[in-house]
Amino acid sequence: MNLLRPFVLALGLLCAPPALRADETDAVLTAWFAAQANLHTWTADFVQTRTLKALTQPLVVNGRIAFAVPHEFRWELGRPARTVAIRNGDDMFVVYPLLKRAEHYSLGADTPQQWRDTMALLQTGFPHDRREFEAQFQILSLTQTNGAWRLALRPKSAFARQMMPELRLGLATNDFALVSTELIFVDGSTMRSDFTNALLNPPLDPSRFQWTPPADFKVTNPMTP
Amino acid sequence: MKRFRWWWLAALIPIILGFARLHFDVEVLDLLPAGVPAVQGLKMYQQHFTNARELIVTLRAPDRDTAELAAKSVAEKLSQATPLVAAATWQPPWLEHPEQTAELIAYLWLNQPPATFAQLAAQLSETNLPAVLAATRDQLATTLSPADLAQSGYDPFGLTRLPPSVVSAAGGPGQGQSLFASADGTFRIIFVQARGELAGYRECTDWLAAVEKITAAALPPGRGVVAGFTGRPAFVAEISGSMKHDIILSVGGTAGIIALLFWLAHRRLKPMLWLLTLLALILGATLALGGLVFGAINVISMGFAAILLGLAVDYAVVHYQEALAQPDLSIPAIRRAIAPSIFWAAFTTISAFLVLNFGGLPGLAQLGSLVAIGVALSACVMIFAYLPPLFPKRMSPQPNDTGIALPSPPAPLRPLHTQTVFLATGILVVSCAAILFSGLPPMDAGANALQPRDSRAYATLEAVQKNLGQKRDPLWLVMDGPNEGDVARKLKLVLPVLQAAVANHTLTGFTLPDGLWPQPEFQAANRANARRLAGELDAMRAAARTNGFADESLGLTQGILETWRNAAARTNVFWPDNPLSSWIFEKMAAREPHRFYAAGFLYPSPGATSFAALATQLASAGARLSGWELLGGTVLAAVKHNLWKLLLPMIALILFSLWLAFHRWMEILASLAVLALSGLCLLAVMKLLGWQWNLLNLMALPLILGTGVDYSIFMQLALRRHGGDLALARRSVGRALMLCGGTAMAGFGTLGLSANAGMASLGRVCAVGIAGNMLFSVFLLPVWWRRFSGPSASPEPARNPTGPSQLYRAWLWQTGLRLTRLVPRRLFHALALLLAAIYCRLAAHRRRVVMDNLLPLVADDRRQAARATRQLFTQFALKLTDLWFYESGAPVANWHADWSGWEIFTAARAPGRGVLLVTPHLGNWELGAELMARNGCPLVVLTQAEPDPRLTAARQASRTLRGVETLVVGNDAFAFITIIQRLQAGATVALLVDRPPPPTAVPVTLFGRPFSASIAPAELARASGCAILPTYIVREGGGYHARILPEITYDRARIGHRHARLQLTQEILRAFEPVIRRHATQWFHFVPVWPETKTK
Repeated sequence: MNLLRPFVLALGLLCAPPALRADETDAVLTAWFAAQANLHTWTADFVQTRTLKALTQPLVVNGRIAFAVPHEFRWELGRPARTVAIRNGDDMFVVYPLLKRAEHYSLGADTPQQWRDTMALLQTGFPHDRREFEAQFQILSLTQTNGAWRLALRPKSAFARQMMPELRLGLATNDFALVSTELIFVDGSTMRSDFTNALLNPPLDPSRFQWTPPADFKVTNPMTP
Repeated sequence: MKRFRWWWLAALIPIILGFARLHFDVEVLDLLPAGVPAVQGLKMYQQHFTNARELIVTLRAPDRDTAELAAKSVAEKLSQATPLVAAATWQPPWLEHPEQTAELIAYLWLNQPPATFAQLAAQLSETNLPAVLAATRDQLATTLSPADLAQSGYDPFGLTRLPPSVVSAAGGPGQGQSLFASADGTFRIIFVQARGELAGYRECTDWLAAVEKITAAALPPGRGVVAGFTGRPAFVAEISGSMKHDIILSVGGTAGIIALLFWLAHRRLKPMLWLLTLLALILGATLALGGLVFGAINVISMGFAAILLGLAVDYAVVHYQEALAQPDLSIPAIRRAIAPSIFWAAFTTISAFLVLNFGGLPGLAQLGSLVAIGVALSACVMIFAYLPPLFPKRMSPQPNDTGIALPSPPAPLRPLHTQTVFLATGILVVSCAAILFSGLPPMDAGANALQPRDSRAYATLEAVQKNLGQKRDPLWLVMDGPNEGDVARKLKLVLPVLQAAVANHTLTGFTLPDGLWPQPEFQAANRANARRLAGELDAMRAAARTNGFADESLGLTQGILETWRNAAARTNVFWPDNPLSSWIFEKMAAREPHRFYAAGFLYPSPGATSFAALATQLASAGARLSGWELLGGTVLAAVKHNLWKLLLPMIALILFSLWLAFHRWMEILASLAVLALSGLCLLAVMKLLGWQWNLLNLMALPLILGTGVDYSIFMQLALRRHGGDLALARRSVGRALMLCGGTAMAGFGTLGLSANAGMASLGRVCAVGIAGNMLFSVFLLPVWWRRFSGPSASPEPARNPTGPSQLYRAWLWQTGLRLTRLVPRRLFHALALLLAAIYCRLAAHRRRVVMDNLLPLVADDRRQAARATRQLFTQFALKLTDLWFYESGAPVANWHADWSGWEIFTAARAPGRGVLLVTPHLGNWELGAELMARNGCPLVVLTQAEPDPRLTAARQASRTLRGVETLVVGNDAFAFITIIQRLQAGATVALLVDRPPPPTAVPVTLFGRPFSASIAPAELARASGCAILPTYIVREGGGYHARILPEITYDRARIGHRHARLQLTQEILRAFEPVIRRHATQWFHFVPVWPETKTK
C-alpha cells in the first residue's frame, strides 16, 4: 500500500485537467463573449441536482428555462412547475403556483447592492458585458474536460460570497453553449443544473417573461423589512 | 500675632479636607435640572442602556471590500488584545455564532401566546413530523432563495419560521448588516467592549489611546481607510481633555492678561507678582472649598477659575490705585475709605452669582456658588493681605489719617466735553435701536449649547447616524417597572400612541421592544408544552433521519429544545443570556434586582418640531420620552420658567445695593442708566455678530447685572469722595476700573475659547456686557453725574453719629420679624453675628461713638474699650435677634430666663401701690414684659417715639400681642398725667432712665463723669407715691437673667423739692453703676451719652 500511494497520487495528478494559463483563459473568455453577442433568446430543459449537507441524499428536480437578453428569464422547477422565477426588466417574481404565493423583488437602482448581487447569480450563465462580468466575478480557474470548458468563479460581492463562495459554469467547447451551472454554498452544499435540448434564439413570446399576480395570490416583498 | 497664626492654621483644615474630597465630573447630564422629564429619561437611558464600556470604531474606505477587510482586521486585532478588550463585534453576532441563535429563537417561541405555541407543539407532534419534514424537503428542492436553502436545511422542523410580529421586531437571521455598515458598504462600525470598568476619565483616556494605536496598526496600509472613534469612552476622554485645555487656557490666559494689563498700568513688578501669588492661592483655596462643599466639580463649573481671577483682581487693583493716588494716607485709612465700596461690590457680585442657584441648571448653580465663595475669599484676602507687604512703612497711622480730606470745589465741566458725552450717548442709543429694529437676537432652543465644539467624537457620531440611515437624532422612550409584567403592560399601552404618531406624521417610524420583551404569563402557560417538546428530541431525530436529513441539520433544533428544557424547569421569568442574546437585549432591556427597564427608539419626521403632546400622551402610559433633540427645548423652557427667579431677586438686590450705597435717587438712576445702555449695546453686538441666546448664556444676564453695577458704584462713590473732580476720580478709580474691567473681560473672554459651546457663548456675552458697563461707567457716567447729581450735595451723606442709624427703620424691623418665621434661631444668631462683625468693621463712625461711651467704664483704657466695643456689637446682634423673635410671637419661655428679687417686687406691690420699674439701656429689657406677664403682672411701658413713626406703630403692635401696653411720650409733659393716674391705680410701669429726652434730662454723675439721666422716675414718685424698683435683664451663660434690685426708698414730702428729686435720680443711677460696669458690653448706646463727647 505504501508503494501504491505515490503511484495513485501521480495518476490522479495526470488525470486532473490542467488549468489554462492566463492568456489562454483570456482567449477563451473573449471567444465566449463573442458567442454571447449572437445570443438573443435561449431555452433548454434542465435537471437540477441539489446536494445539501443537511440531507443524506441529493434532491433532483426537472425543469425548463427560457432566457432573453438582456435580463429576462423564466425558470420553472418541477413538472408541473412548483417554483417559477420570472424576471422582466427590474421586476422579478418568484411564484409558488401550488401555494398561491409569490415573492416580488425589485432590482432597480434603488435596490440595495447586496440584493442585486445575489439576484445576479441567477443569470450568471448569460453575461452580455465582459466588464460587468469581471466586475461581478473573480475567475478562479478555467479547465477543459469532456468537451466542455469549466469556468470557476468567485463573486466579488462580499454579501453574495457569504452565501456562495464559488460558482462553476460548464460551456460547450464548440459553440460556448451553456452546458451546466453549479453553485457551491458556504457549507459545501451544491446546486447543479445540467442543461439539455437547448435551443439558441428560438422565437419567444414576451408574455412568457411577464406575470401579474392574480387576486388570490399572496405577494410578499422579502427585501422590505 | 500668635492669634493670627492660629487662625491661619485653622483655615488650612477645610482646604486640606476639600482637596481630599475633590474630584471632577465630566457627565454632561449632571449639569441639567434633575426634575425635567427629558433629563430624567436621558439619565435613565444613559445609566441603563448606554454601555459605559463600549466604544464605536468607524471605518471609511474607498470601496466595500476594503471596508469589510479593514473591519475584520481591526476587530481581530482588538479581540486579541484581551487585557484591554472583552469583545470586538464587526458584523451581526448571529453571523459569527449562528449556533447561539437557538436560545433566542427558543425564547421568542416561549414568549408567544399560548395558542400560538400550542399550534407549534401540535405541528411538531410525533404523528405530524413526517409531513413537516416532507414539506421541508419539498421546499429545499424547489426554492430559488439561497437564504431559504440555508435556513430550511438546518431547520427541518421550521422552528425559525417565527410569527410575523416577532420577525418584524427581532429581524430575520439574514438582517442586521444595516447596523454595521452603510448601504454602499464603504462605511462600517465596530463595537468594542472594554475589559475594565473605565470608571474615571483617566482610565478612559488611557484605554482609548491604546485602542487607537491597535486600530492604526491593524488598518490595511495604503488602502485609504480612515478610522474614527465615538461612544462614552471617547466622549469622556475628549471632554476631560477639553477641561484640562480650558483650565490651562482660561486660567493661564486670564492670568497672563491680568499680568500684562497690570504691568501696562503700573510698571511695577513686585505688586504684579504679589497679586498673581494671591490670585493663585485664592484659586486653590476656592477649589478646595468647592471640593469640600460639593465633592464633585463639573465641567461647566471649571469655568469659575477664569471668572474668579477676573473679578478677584478688582479688589486689589482698587486698593492699590487708591494707595498710589493718596500717598499721604496709611494703609488702614485707605482700607477704611475703600471698604464700603469693596463691601457693596463684593456683596452684589456674590449675590449675582449665588442667584444662579435659582436658574434651574445645577451646573451653573455650582459655577455661581464657586465664584461666590471665591469672591468672598478674594475680598477678604485682597483687603487685608494685598497692600501691607507693598507699603510696609504705611501701616501705622499717618498725620493725614483723619480721613480723606474734603476736596476743594472742582473745576467746572467744559461744555464741549459735556456735549460730546451726551452726543455719544445719543448716537449709541439710536444706533443700537436701529440695529435692533429688525428684531432681537434669536434664541437657540436646541441642545447645542451643551455639546462640545469641534468634537471629533461628536463628528464621528454624526457620521454614524448619517451613514447608517438616521436623518435625525432618534428620540428615546424609556419605561420602567417593578417587574417584567408591568413593563410589558406599558409597552402595550404606548404602542397605539406611537402608531397614531406615525399616522399623523409626527414620527416616521419607531422601534419598540414589545416583540422581544418577556411575557411572564405566556411563558408560564407555555412551560408544559415546552417541556413536552423538549422530551421529543429523540423522536424528532429519528424522524429526521428517516426522511433523509443528516444529523448536521439538527444542531439548531437540539439547541432550541435544550433551551426549552431549561426554561421549563424554572419558575421565574426566562431571559436569554448567552453572548448573542445579551448583545441584542442590552440595547433595549435592562434589569436590576427590583427594577426593569425597556427602551425604544422613535424617529421624528423631518418637519416635526414639537413633541410636547406626544410626550404627555406617552407619560400617561408610563413612558418617558427623551433625547438630545428634546432636551434643548425642555431645558430651555425650564430655564425660561426659572428666569424670573433669577432676574427679580437680582433686580431687587441691585436696587437695594444701590440704595444702601448712595441713598440718592439720581445716582441710583445713573447706575441703572449705565446698565440699560450696556444692555442695549450688548443686544446690538449680538445681533450684528449673529450670536444667539441659548440656555447657558441666558445666565449672563444676572452676571452682567451683578458685576456691572459695581463699576457705577465705584465711580460714583469716588466722584463723591473727590467732590466731583472728574480728573481725580478717573485717575484714582477710573484707571482701576479700566484695569478691573479689562481683567474681568479677560476672564470671561478666555471662556469664549472653551471647548464647550455653551460656556464659550456665556463667556463672550459676559465679556461684551461687562465691557459696556466698564466703558460707560468710566467715560459717560462721570459727566452724567456732574450734570444731574453734581458735587453740590455733600460729598458723602453726612454721617450723623448723634442720631440713630439709618438702619433703624420700619422696613428693616419688619424684614427681621418676617425672617424669624423662616430661619431657625441658632442660624439667625450666626448670621446676625456675621453681619454685626461686618458692620462694626465698616461703620467706623459708629464704632467710635460706642468706644467713647465705654471709655469711662474701663478707666479710659482704649484697648479694653476697643475690645468691649467689638463685644458690644456682638451682644447687640444677639439681643436684636432675640427681640425680633420675641416681637414676632415666638415662645420665649425656654430662653433660660430666671428671676432674682421677685420678692422685692411682691413686697413693693403689697400695699396696692403702683410700681415703677426703672432700667437703663442694658441687656434685653423688653423681655421683662414677658417675664412680668408670665407672673401675672401686666406692664405699661413708657417709651419715646422711634425715628420712624411706622416703627413706633410696629413695636407698639408687637408689645400689644404680648399683653403689654405702650404709652408713647414725646416731648409732651402732659402725657405724664396719664402715667400718674395709672400708677395711682396700682399699675406697674416700666421706664428707661438713661438717654432721656431733653425736657426730662438732668445732670448726674456716673462713673465719676457728668451724665444725663431722666428725672421722670423722681417726678412720678412725687406725684403718685409709687415704689421705685431698679431692674435689669442681661444675657448670661446663653440665657437671660432678670434681677430686681432693692427698692429705692424716698420721703415723698421731701422730694417735693427739685433738689431732692435730683438726689433721688442720682441714687437710682448709683444703684445701676456696678451693674452697668459688670455688663458693659450690654449697655447699648450707639449715640454719644457723655455730654463732653456730644459737644465734641
